[in-house]
Amino acid sequence: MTKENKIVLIDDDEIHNFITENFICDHYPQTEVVSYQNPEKALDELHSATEHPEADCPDVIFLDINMPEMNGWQFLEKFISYKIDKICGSKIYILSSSLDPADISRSKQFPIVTNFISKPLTADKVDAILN
Amino acid sequence: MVRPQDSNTELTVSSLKDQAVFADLFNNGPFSYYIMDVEMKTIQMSQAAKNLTGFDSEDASVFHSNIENSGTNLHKDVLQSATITKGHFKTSYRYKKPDGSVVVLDEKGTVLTDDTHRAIGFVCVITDITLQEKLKEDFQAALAMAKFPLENPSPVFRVDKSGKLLFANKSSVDMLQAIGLSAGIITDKIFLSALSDCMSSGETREVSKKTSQDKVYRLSLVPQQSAYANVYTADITDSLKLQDELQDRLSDLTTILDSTDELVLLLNTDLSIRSSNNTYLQNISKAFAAEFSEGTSIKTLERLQFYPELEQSISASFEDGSIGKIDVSIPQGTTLEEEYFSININPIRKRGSNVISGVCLRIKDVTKEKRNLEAIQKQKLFYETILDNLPADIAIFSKDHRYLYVNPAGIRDKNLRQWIISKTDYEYCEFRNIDTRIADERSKLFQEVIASGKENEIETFHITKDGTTKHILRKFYPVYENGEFKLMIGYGVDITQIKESQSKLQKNENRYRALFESNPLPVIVIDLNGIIISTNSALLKETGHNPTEIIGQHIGLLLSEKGKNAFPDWFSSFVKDPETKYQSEIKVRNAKGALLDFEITIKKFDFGEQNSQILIVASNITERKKNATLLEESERLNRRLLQELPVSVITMVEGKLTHINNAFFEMLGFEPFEVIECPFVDFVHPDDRYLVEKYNFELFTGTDTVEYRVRMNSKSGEIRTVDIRETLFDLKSNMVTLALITDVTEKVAVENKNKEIEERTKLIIEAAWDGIVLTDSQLRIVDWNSKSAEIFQWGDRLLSGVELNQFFENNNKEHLLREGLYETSGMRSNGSIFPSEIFTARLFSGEKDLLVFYIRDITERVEVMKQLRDSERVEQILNLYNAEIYLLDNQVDVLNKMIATFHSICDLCHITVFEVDENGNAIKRINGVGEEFRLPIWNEIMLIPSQQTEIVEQAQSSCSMVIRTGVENGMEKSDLAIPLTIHNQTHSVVRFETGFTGLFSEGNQNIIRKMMDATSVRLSKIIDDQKLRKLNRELTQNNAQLQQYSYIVSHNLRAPIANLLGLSRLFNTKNLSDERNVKVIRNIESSAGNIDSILKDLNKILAIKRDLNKEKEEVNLDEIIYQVLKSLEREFIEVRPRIDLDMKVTKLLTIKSYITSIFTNLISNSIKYRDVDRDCNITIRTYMMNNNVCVEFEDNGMGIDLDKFGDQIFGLYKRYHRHVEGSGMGLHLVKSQIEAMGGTISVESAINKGTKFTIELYND
Repeated sequence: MTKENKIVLIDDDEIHNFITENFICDHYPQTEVVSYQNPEKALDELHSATEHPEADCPDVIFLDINMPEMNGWQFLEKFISYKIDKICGSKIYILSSSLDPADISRSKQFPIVTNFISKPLTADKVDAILN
Repeated sequence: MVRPQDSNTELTVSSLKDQAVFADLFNNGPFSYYIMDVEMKTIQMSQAAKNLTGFDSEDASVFHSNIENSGTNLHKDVLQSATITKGHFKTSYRYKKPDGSVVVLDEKGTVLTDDTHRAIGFVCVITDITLQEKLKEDFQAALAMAKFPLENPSPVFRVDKSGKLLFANKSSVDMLQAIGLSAGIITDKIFLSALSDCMSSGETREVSKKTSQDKVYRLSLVPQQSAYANVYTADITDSLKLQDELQDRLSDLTTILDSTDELVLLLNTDLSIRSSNNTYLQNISKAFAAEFSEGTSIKTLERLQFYPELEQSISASFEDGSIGKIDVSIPQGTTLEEEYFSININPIRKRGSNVISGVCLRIKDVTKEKRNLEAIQKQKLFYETILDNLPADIAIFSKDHRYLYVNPAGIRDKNLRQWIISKTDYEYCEFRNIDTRIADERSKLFQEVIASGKENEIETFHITKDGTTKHILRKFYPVYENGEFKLMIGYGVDITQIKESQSKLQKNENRYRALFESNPLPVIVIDLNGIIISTNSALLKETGHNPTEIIGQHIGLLLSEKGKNAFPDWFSSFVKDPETKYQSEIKVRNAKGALLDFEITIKKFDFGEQNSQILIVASNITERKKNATLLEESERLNRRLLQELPVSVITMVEGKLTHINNAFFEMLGFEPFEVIECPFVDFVHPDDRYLVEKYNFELFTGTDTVEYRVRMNSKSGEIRTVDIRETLFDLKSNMVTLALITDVTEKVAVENKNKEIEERTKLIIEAAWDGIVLTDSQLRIVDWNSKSAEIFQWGDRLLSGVELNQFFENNNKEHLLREGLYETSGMRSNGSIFPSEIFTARLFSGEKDLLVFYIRDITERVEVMKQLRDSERVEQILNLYNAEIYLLDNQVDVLNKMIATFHSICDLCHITVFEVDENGNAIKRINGVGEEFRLPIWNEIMLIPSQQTEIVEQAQSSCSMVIRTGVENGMEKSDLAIPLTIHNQTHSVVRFETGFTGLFSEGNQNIIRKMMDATSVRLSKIIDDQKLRKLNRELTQNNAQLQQYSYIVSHNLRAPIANLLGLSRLFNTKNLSDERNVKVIRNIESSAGNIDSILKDLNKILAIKRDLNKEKEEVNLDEIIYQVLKSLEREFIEVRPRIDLDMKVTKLLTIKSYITSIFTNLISNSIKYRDVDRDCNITIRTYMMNNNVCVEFEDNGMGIDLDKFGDQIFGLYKRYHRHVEGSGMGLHLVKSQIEAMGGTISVESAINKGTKFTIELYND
């Protein structure tokens, strides 16, 4: 993998973000990781990014489900309603600690969701995504 | 001026009055006049008269009232008589002037008359004659005095002030000597001292003096003109003696009073104490005596509570002099134990008159006597209770054979029992109108017993009401006291049973006599003297003697000379030691004188003290032993029967045996020392001991008598069944239980068996649907049941011995004698014939063969069968069944429908069906089973019309299925149960299960009977709407909770663990000093802390379920709020919120820890999520709504976007504000706790306005 990747992390868990950032950077040093604790802020920035002609869209978005104020599903609905998916074409992965089958099946209802990944993120999982 | 010429001149008043001059003369003249009318009212009084009388008023009525010593009356009388005689009058009187001085007035007067010579008044002249009177008196006195001393039998003398005798009368000699007259001077110091005192004071003095004649005089020294004194004497010897005597008497009385054990109080009429026997009181206590001090009113005495009856008695005594006696009880001291007093009230009369001056109370403490009496009565009661409970008649007679006591066994009727006391048997016989022979018998026995001084007995018998003969053994026991005949105790023992056993014995004896007689061996019975009592025929045959020759003769008659000589020796040694059996060979002389050899065995039998018999048996050893053993056995048994009464009597204290009679020992085989003082229950079968405890408890909690049956263990381990009857009574504070124990072991065993057999048999026979007749092998009826009587219409006829065959049409014995089942025609009493089905069986009952006939009246069945055959009447037959019946052909087409399917289901289930309109309102009642069969529970269930068809269809298709299955499989019968589901109007589900039975007749191809047994339709279950909803709610709640837990596990718990895993991978182990490691470690710590807090939260939620078992308690909400605010002190100081309370409900029955937690969470939430731009305001309200308690928490905080989070607000780990710390646990906890207590929480909120939580707690 030569191309520089941009990854966006949306998770209210600060520790998780710390781990994921470091983990990805350790394995893929040329990858840029941006993490958001507040999904609304992430949405705003992604939304505004799409308004630029040379949108700096992330290649991959890791999205947590359970967050206060706006959860992962709400984020996805907004994401779709803002038509960000149409412009960006980012691959969205649900990255959740949930093992609840309801969450997995719900994630499948969103075509824009590429896959449901259980935490923690491992090298194999990242490899599979980035390659 | 006209002057009255004379006071006697007759003047008319009018003329007097008219003349003012006269008036002036009258008034101012020197004459003391007054004029009064006939009413003796003074009309006028002259000034002189006024001066004289000191009277200053015109009205002179007071003047008359001042005349002393009924002078007024005297005056009046004088005037009265003068009026009548119309003359003059004269009188004198003592008159007391207003200034108090007394004058003597002389009055002369004349009656005034009018023209008709009628008296109209008086004119009176009064003159003061005081001085003259005085002089006259003095003179009289002087005259008397001069005469008196010389004649006076008592000494009178005069001394001067120095004691010099001036004068003495004759009787003064002894006295003068006694006062030491010496040379004309009195020397007695006492006298002289009295004299000097008398002279100096000018007052009379008295001294007493005894003369040589042992006479005592009282000397009165009267001073005269301060120069000398007269001495008068009075002999007071007797009066002194009297006084001494009185003193002695008084002291005697006081001693008597003081030595009594009564408190004696003399009362004045005002109920104050005049005197009391103080010493008696002092003996008790000083304080006590002080209370009863003289002058105290007994009304105020607390110790002697003044009872109304005491007051009444005392006042009665005052009024009519009656003597009273009352008994009072006074609670004493702190224990308030009653003390009893008997109070006697006697009036005190003044000596020599009837005037009652007071009362005398004699108060006696009779507490001890009373207690003693009570104790004696209790003791008496104790013995009487025993006597009353004894099953034998007992009576106690006085010396003259009168009843003093009879126990209930003697005379059952209580009134009669009371009546007979002090009566004789003759009176009793007369009263009961019975033969006096009984009284004669008893009287004779009574006299015999008195004469002999020894107890005696007679046997009597009488026939009771129910016709049985009762044998009574009457015994009289004389009771002597100090050698004198005092009482007679009569016992009547029911010896009926003994008599019976005697008669049994007699029978036995007869049996043995028969044995004895038929014994092929010669047997002879002799008495202790060797006299032959009886022999058997074998002996007579062997010896050829005639019984009359030898009975009553000495045995020697039968013996050889040698034997005769030897007889006395061996016989006496045998009698001395009767245990030895004597065996010998002897020679016996027969009637012809020949000697015969016999081997004999001799045995002695005791039939009572004086009644021993010797049995001589000549037999071989085997036969001998057998006979002897049999006799011995029978004798022992009979004696036991004779001597024992079956009732044991015991007493117990605290469950331990205290008194026991022989019957008890004999019943259980114990010795006295093994039983006395042992707990009674030890002798009771362990399984029955609870009964003893149970009934004793009842006994101790108020039941008079308890009766129960237990098993008891005898010493040998045998179990005896006994009936126990217990009574409890109080004997000197000991609770004594008296128990009568009747051994009913055998009785019970037999009874039980008999009863069981009898009951079983009776039950079987009487309950039989068939008539059952028992006959002997000749068809003679032995027994029959009521059903058979009903079938044959025998009524109450007695049929024993009647041949059964005559109740059958053909009267054929052979016909009936066959066994098994067959049909024949029976004949009723009225001659009518009925079809019957008979089953005959042979019973072998002991020696006799019995036949038992089961007879069934099959009229109805035959009828039915007949009707069944008649296709036109099928409907009627089927209507006999109380069920839904369809008559169908084999194509399952309905031939006949008896009851409409749907309606009948409803009817049979007691459901009322209404036709309803589209709004569900009932229009018309459709079915109509009688109201009385309808159960209320069904009333509310209504069926929607459209469902009728549904049910009918369901039912019909099920029927068809049953029928088809039956037909196809060629079955006789087919059952099928199908469930029916019906929704009623309120959408509750009513489930029915209905059974269908198809019956198929064999031979008939065309008609298939099908019975739909609607009675088996039953409602299996109604699920109550509300219950369902509640269940549903609970399930949902549980489910939500489970989901929450799985959420916690799957997300919240997993997330930090995942983090830990991730962090541990990030940790640079190669280069420990990598600066990232510090961050990693910090995050590890944080994640671990996170896990810890989640586990804590989880624990909290789980605790809710656990805490639910906590008792609800009354909680004061004000207090809770106070506590919560205190625990939130830190936040309060920081934020300073304003809290408004509007509490309409302050007390709540709830779980305290929950309520505290709820308040804490909601208040702290309001503070946490306050709007930082505003002051924080919180309002808490409580109020009642729909009988539920509501609590509201309202704040003006930042609010929650309910559109966004409404469904999740109470979820676990839900947080809606990023900037505020919080675990997302509080509201979930609040909701869980409220729901656990039975309640709901709702929320209203607007962003930036505030939030309001409303809690409603169900008041169930």
